[in-house]
Amino acid sequence: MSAVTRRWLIPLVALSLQAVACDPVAVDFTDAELSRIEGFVFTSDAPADTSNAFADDPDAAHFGQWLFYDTRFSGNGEVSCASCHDPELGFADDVALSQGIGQTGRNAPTLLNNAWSRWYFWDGRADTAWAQALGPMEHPDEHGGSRLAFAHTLWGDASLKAAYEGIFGALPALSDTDRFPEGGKPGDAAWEGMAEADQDAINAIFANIGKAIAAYERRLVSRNSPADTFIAALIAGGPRSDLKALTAQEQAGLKLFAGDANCTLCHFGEGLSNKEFHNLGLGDRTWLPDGDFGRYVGIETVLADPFNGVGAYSDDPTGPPADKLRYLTSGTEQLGQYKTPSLRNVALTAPYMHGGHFETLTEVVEFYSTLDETVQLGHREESLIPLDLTDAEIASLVAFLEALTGEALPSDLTHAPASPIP
Amino acid sequence: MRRTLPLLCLLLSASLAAACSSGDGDGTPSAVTEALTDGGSYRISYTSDPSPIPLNEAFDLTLTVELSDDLSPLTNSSAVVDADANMPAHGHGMNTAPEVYANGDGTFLAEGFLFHMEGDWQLVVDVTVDDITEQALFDVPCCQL
Repeated sequence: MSAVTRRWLIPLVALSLQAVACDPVAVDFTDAELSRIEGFVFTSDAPADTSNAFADDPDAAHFGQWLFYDTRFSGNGEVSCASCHDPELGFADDVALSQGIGQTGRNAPTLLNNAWSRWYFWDGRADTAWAQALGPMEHPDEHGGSRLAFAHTLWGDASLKAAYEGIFGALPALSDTDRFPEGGKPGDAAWEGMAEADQDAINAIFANIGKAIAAYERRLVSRNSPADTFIAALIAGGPRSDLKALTAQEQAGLKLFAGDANCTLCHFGEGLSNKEFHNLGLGDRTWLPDGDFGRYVGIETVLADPFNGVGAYSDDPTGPPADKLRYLTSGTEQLGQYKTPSLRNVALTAPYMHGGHFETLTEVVEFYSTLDETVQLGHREESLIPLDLTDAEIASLVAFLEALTGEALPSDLTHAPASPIP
Repeated sequence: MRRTLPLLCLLLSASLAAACSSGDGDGTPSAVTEALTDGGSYRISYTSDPSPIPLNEAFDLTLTVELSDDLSPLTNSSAVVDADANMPAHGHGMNTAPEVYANGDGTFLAEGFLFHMEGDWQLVVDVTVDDITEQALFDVPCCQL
């Protein structure tokens, strides 16, 4: 090498290396990957829920926030929605199977960004957020309460009564316990002995409890994760300095996620979920209950639910909620299928899968790498093939998933308000 | 031969089906939107609403069914048209069951489609007349990125 070459080439190479080192975009994304990544951009407001006329009513949201944390709405006075949907744990819990009054059969999903869901529960047995909120309240292993008892709790507390009536109108004369026994739900003798019109009045109160809780849950929106910041800069021309929001390892994980690892087959869109149901072919776990058929039973349940989007208590029984149920189909294909969870804030909500099968995200990604589990029911989604990932690739994917944790919610949304009255 | 000529024309048109596709000319795989049924009796084409077909959002199809002999519309009031879609490589179909309504002019409105995964879908259209069913298949890559 001549002196002249050394004089110019060496500094040039050094400059180039420096430029590479300083370029915050550490990986090359293909056009297809970029297109999928663009779909992750999370800017929209929560989709309208026309089945709930109070979905965006601030007073209803305030009242619902109170109800969410009030343990009186349970059979033993010790369980609230927050028992399994703990704000400190990403509005989920940290056990494989959630514990209410009894042992449930499922892992509690997060409520963060719940309003973007198409179906609720792991098996989609509810089609609206407010119907979802009602299910646990009467489940014997969760709140273990009854709609009659809940109505009487509202009636018997001046603040609760005032809050409820300020939003939904006057309660019926619940002091008449001949007409309105102090406890009971469908199937109970007390309930079955009631006049149909009185049952309807209690059902309407129960539905309104769900609608208020759902109005609160719509406010549990977690945005602006490091991944969002990076993607905004990468795709939408945000500040170039924002490209540093993801490390090189996290970017490599993003590339894998949207590329060779094919995670976007099911985890796409702003929630990184297709909101539908798949059978991953997970193996058995000693703690899982027998007889969990997943979506197969979830479809039957949602269609029969009197609180579904086409039912008497829906505020839009012939609108979009009806379309969702109208074309729903059921068959053995749905055996063992569970909802694709959103991956936003996934690092906050271990353990993972509908039965808490995996304790860590690394275990989850390792499962997709090997698929080394014996299918228990139905058949595994056939598009799943072992990814055969290296340790470095697994670490990259986990790093990216951890970068999907959004900003913390405003503190006033993470505990009961001072009063149920707005 | 009088019946053969139209059929040859039809086969030729089918072979040129790429011209009747929803491609955008940029190399993106595009859906063939016109096909013959397996028995050769009907030519079926479709359009989607919205168009192009969106990923993971509901859409409807308008199916146009013509007799392949003379390309007249299938207006037989006893004709039954069914439509569904699946992902052959995945071993599953949609999570919805579309409903099909005859418009009476040879077109049929198929409501209730939703492609919940990116990839190669197959649209299946059955036409039944006088208890004889013929089927047309369309490859539908979903969805344009």
